[in-house]
Order: sequence, then structure tokens, then C-alpha cells
Amino acid sequence: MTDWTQTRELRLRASVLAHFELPWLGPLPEPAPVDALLQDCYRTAGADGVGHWVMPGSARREILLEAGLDRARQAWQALTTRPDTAEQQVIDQCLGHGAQISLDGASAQRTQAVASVARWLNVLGVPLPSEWELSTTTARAAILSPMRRLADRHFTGRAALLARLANDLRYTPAITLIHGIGGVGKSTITARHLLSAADSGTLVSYVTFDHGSIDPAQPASIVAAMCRQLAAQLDESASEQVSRLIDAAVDSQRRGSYASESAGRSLGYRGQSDGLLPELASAVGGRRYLLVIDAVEEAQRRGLSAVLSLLFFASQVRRILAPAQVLLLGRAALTAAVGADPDPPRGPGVHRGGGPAEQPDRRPG
Amino acid sequence: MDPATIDWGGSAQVLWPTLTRDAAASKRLQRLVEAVRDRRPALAGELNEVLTAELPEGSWYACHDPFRSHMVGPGHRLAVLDRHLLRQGIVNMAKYDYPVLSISGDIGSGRSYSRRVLQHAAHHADVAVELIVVDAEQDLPHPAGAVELLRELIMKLGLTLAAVPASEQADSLTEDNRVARELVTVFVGLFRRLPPARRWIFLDSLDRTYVEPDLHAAVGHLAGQIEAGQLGATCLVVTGPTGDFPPGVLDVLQEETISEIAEPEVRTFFRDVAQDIGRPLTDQELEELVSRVRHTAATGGLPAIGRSAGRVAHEFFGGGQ
Repeated sequence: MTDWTQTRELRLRASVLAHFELPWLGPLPEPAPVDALLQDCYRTAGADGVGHWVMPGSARREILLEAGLDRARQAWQALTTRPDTAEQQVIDQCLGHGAQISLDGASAQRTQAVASVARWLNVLGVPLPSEWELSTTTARAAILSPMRRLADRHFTGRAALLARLANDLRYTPAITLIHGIGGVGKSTITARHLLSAADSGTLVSYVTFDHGSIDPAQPASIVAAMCRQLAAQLDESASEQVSRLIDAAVDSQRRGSYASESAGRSLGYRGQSDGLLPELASAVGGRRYLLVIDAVEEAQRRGLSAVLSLLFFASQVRRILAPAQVLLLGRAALTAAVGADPDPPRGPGVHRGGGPAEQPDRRPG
Repeated sequence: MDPATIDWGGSAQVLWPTLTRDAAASKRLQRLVEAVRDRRPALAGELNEVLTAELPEGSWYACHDPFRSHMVGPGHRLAVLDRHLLRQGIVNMAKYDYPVLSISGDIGSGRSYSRRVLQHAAHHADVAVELIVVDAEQDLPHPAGAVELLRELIMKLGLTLAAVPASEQADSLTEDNRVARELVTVFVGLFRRLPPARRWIFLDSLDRTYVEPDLHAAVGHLAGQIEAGQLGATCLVVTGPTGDFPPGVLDVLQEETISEIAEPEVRTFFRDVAQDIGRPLTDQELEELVSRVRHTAATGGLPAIGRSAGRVAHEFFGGGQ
């Protein structure tokens, strides 16, 4: 074997390892073609704190494309040392053993690993989940994982409030404001409710005005965020329909930017989401829906018209996407938001609940 | 560069590339080479050559406009095919203050390669921009969140890291988007201590699955702060999804979708290079060059075509220089 073909073989072996050390690739020729071998590799710290070499994804794809499935599998078989990582397990399963990879019940870490490996190995035609399945599973994990971090391990108590929210969602979906001082646990309670709802098949969206892309004065920005999350929960054709709505919502934001800062803010608000919600409703097809809008204090900070607009939008969601429960999370009651307004907004489904006195119980982390 | 991160058990041949790469990553490669030179005077001649070597002198390729260059990188060895809209996007950033450029495209379409074009333009004397690159694939741990991104940026900017604690010490009970927003606020405060300069922040590989949603949220906030002028003359270039930009950024966002490279782009590349250096190119020569690329590109992938086109251009126009 010439130096060149030997280097190519070593690079091929490196490309079927999640990360590597040079001795793992097998006996090196003398002198070792280290520069050629490592030319585009980078170093990264593993879970053990030790630095390892990694072949970047773009180089892997090229090497594997050139080698083809049989040679890649032979290279994998020639390896005697492989790292113990989630990504390597996926490589071993689908390349080494030709096993079909399933995402059913996969953890977020496993899903991420499958998606990473799929970027390299899909050029070989090995049995991997489809691109759509991967992207929607990853997107679903992206919605629910932060909720699990908030509410799974640390959460206990608040049974009465949770039962009431669940009951409302099931029988009388409404717009509910949960308010209380920062840190009291509004997001955590809602995360728990959202996880339970998602587990029982309800479509869910969590949007927060803490996210830079979501602006209380731009309802289309809320619709875009809702659509991004819903696209991951619907079947393929409905998902495509909702994905198209994202572009429409973004276009609508561009057209409507700054208009909402004018005196006619509420009108601008209404105009932006017109047409988007009915289209979304047709994709959702009457399934039960839970929308959580967090950090409502951001709308309250902007003033009365922003709050009114938000309530108007929430009522539109509730009406058009029925059956839909809308939870608004904020720091102050709506009366505080509207100040001395003699006639504060009282939407038909607005409830007031939660408060500084109702501290959620937390187990020590 | 922490000695504890090195596996010291290997031979010198195995250890040396590891040490040099880690030293380069921690910006200590020059010091490492100088230390070796001082300890081994017999190698001083060779190592001095290494230290003084920069771009090869007298390259055959020259293009007076850094934004239009078709050969970039050390010794102009890297070919840039097509990418007219990307170039226009960079011009708009450099000359017309467009704050955010988003580059999207399919896997393997060459989004990351755009860094070469940016780097070339940024380092040109007429432009003089400080380029800060964070590649989520190579620079950040997996999974990568807002904390990891902002700590990496802070380190690369030479700012004090203490203001942003590592993710293990973060408050796990605060909602991620709020944390991301607060972190960006801290980052902006730190950034404003830097001396005024033009800076381009290039965030690459943001479409990877191990990039967490809070990192995307942080990028959105960062874009918003840049658009609002809070980071001075700083621009942001990202590769990956564009879903997290604030409405204000969407108004001025430049979006470039990178497409695959095919034979027409290769043909145009050779014509452009010939025009840049003022060498006439016959149709027969052009077809021969395209045919050589077709036969020497190991695969149909963009990196292979780009490498092959660069090599063929050097052989043909520069006589293998």
C-alpha cells in the first residue's frame, strides 16, 4: 500500500469515529503522514476532559462519499478502539451492524446524536430516519427539553392549580393570566402543565417575550413562533402547510414593522395576524391546543394599547383555533398594567390566579 | 492550553501535532515554536524560516478589489466559485452598514467556506476589519447553549470571563430565553470596554442539532443589539436558521442562500480569474480547464470541486506556482 492510499485509509477510519486518537486508527506507517492525516481535523475536549481529534462533518462527507458503503464498513471493522459516546453508538449500529435506527422513545441526547451522524452517513445510504422525521423529532425535543429541565426534577406540589388548568384545557379552554413576582414559579408551573398536555396529545406552543424574535407589538412574530413549534407536531402535509405560514408571518412582520409603533397600534396588530390564524386553524384541524405566552410584563411595560392588543390576539387564538387554551404569564395583574384606567380590559375568558403568596414547593436540586 | 488535557503517553510524532494544534488554538503557537528554537539552537534556522514565512511572495494572482477576489487564502490557493450575492452582502456590510448577514443552504453547499471570502475581505488593508469566528461544530462543546457561545466570544475578544459563569453554575430554574437575554446584556456591557474598531462576528454551523434553542435565542438578541448600534461598528454573519431574529433586524437583514456548484459556475470562475489577471482565455482553453476539474474532483461535492478548481487555476495560470 502506498503512503497516499494508506493515508486515505487512515482518514476513512477517522471519519467513522466520533472522535479519535492517532493510535486508534491502527499501525501508522514510518514516517507517519500526520500532516496529511490531520490536515482538516480539529481538537475538542471529550466528556473525560481530555482533548481528542475530530474529523469535521464536511470532510467526513467527502471522504465517505468517495469511499462508498462497503469500504466505509471495512474501515469500521478494522478499528479496535472506538470511543464510548452517543454518536459512536449510532455509527456502530447503522454502519457497523446495518441496523435500522429508530427514534421512537429516544432521549434528546440520542436524537441529537442520530441527527449529527445522519449528516455524514446519509451519503452512504445506511438505514437512518428520514430528514423530515429527524428534523421534527429534533424540533419537538427543542420545545420540550427546556420545559423538562424546568419542571421535571425540581417540581412538586401546586396540585390544585395544575388540576384546574388541566380541567380548563379539557372542558372549558379559556384565556388565563397567571401572575406573580419574578422567581415565584410561574414558568415552572406552566412548564409542568405543558408537559402533561403534550404527553396527552395536545398540540403545544410556548412563546416568551424574553425571546428576541417575539415582539408584543408584532402579532405575526407570535404566529411565526407558534407555527415553528406546531410544524414539529403535525403530520407531514399539515407540517408543510404550517411551514409555509412561517414565511407568510415573517413577510407580514417586515411589511408591518414600525407600523405598530404608530398611534393606530391596535389596528396594526389586528391587521398583521389577519388571515394567518384561519390558515393555521385549517392545518391544525380542530385538535386541542395549548398556547403559553410568557413574560407578559414586556407588553405591560409598553403600555395599555400593547396589553389590549395582546388580549385581542389571545382571544383570536382562542376563538379561531378552538379548542384552545391560552395562558398568559406576567408579573403583575392586568389592573396594574393598565394603571388608573377606569375600565380595565376584561376579556370573556380572562381569569386571575396565582400570586406572590402562592409559592410553589421545590425540592432541593 | 492546559497540560491536563493532553494525552502524554504517545510518541513525539503523535504528540507534536496535538501540541501545536492546541497551542495554536490558545494563541501560543508562536511562543511554543520560539521556546523550542531557544532550547534547540540546531533547529533555529529551520524554525526561523517557519516563523518568518507568511504569504508566499509574488503570487501570480492579484485582484484589486478584495470583495471580488476569486482566489483567496494563503498564497491565493483557495478558489471561490460563484457567490456573487454573498460578495454583494459583504460589500453592503462593509460600505453601507448593513448589520446582519445570514447565509443558508443545504448540507455540503459550502456555507462554512464563506468564511474564506469574509476573511479575505476583512484582512484587506482598505477594509481593516477584525474578524471573530465561532464555529459551533469546532469551537463549542456539544450540546452548545447560550452560555458556551458567549463565553467563547468573550474569550476570543480577550475580555474577562468571570462575568459569565460556566453553564454548570447557571441557574437551572430560570427560563432559558430569559437567561439568554440577560447573558447578552452582560456581553454587550463587556464589549463596550473594547477599543473602538470595526468588527465582524461570524457564527458558523448554527444549524447543527447539538446547538440548543437558547443559543439561537442569544444570537437573536445579539443581532438585535448590533442592529440597535449597541456594539459600535460591529456586524454579524451567521450560517444556519434565521428564525430567531427580532422584527427590527428582519427589516435590514441580508439573506444569502448558497446553492450547489455545477459546471457553469466552474466555467465562469476560470473566465473571471483570467479577467482578473488580464490573460486572454480561448474557448478551447476554457473547455480544457473545465474538463480537468471534472476529472480531478474526487467527488461531486463542493469542497472537491473547489480544491480541484484552485489547483487547476494555479497550474494553468501560475505554472504550478
